[in-house]
Amino acid sequence: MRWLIAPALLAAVAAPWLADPYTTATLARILVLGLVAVSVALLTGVAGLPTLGQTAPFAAGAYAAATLALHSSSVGVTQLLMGASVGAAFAALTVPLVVYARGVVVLMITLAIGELVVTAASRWRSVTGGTDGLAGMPSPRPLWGLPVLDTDRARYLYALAVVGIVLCAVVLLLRGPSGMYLRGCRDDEARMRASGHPVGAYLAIAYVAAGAIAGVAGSLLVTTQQYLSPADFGFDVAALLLLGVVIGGAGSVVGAIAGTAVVLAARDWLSGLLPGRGPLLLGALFITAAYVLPRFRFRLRRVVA
Amino acid sequence: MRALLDVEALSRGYGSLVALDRIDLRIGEGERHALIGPNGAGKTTLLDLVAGATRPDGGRIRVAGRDITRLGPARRARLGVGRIHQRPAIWPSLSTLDNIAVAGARRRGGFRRTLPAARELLTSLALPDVAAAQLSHGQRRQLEIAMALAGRPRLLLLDEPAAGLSAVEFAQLSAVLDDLSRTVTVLLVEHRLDLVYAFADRVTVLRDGRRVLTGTPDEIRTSSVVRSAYAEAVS
Repeated sequence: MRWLIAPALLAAVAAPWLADPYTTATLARILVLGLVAVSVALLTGVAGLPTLGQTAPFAAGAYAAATLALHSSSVGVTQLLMGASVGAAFAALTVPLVVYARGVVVLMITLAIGELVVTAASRWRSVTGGTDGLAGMPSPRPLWGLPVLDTDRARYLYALAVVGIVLCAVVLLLRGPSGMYLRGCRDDEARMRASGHPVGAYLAIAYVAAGAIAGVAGSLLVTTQQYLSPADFGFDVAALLLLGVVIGGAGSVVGAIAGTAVVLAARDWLSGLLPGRGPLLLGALFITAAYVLPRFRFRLRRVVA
Repeated sequence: MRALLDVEALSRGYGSLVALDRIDLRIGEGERHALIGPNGAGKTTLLDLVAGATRPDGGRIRVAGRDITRLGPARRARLGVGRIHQRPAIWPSLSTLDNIAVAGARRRGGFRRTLPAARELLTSLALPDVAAAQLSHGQRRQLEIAMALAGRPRLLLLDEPAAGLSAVEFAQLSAVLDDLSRTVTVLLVEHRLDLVYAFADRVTVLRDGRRVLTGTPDEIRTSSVVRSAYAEAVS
């Protein structure tokens, strides 16, 4: 599948010159949610902690970056750092709730965390604007001295660059011992402990790192969308992300972005072609993913091998 | 001989079932000690308690004079307690080499520092460097032994290493056990008595969670007490 990377990258860079501004903005949103899906894949596929709660650090990072953009800094990199720090801090606070549970219990706990954050975002009007949302964030400049990202194309390319850098860092880390330790925890936790590995600490680090990645994505959401509302972080988004990760292959962080693109394309474009049937299409995609994909992937692996 | 493992009045129950009843056991440094007994005698429970996979209801466990009773399995492993499980426990999504290197990383100062030793173990056990998921049952067993050895254990707990092996794999396992350094103290649980008598310096017989007898393989083989307690298996 590696031969696909170069053409996909080329297409991603060329896209804003080939597409209209609306499509470019939609692609930017796909990139942002794709980055959250990377954090979901890191936890679900690599570390074995299935999650429906990455929308929570995503929201925390987004509101923190938005507050910074509105009141203090219009430099992209400081907003990204703010998003990452707040996402990581939020994850660190919820570590004790998550990393000692396993399987479906993790799903339930993370779902609850996600829902609590959406409720808090809806009620904490002074910071989040409540259900009316938060608007008026100025376009940032990526770094001090660089021009402001004042077009959809510029904001898309900025998001592409940030997502690319974070994705490369995650892939490189997972190819090394860190990735093996996490996969070891997922494959056989007792064997990891019997070899002296502190499983709880590894999972906590992965969970905080996933929180930071989701926080960066939150900061990018502020840049690309320039409007935030609790609906951006609801259960449907969490479910779409998990579906995207399953479609992309749970253990693959690159596949997570591709899977999310497929799911969002089904939701945003296909439902436009078949008005009122968006949920039906997504339901069909869910069922297809659950029943057909494991066999399809098995066959594909045999064909590729 | 200085005791490397000192188990004192160790007890463990599961509901109304007493799996281990105030067991005492002392194993000297470098000794090869086997635990035998009928199914349900408490052999695996004792191994689980020493490895830290299960908490005792009472009693004390010391390794090299240090009380490890309250430590978790990872801390015990870092102190040199290695183990292989009744069903081979490996990481199927990693390669054979990576399995060994990850297993030894905590006791050898990191993954990369463990790689040379992992390669040596891979070669000495004639294991192929493939995805561990592709290995046969016997190869998985060999791999788990290599993983335990990569951690340079002072005390190695072997839980039925010969279970489910073919004749060829059994011969390979016997050779691996024979080659074990005397710096490693071994506590072996095994039903194959030919392996036990050939390998162990001393043997302890358990029945219904109690120690029946400890002695040399010859003493165990000829003991009438053992014959009555463990009649079918010993004869």
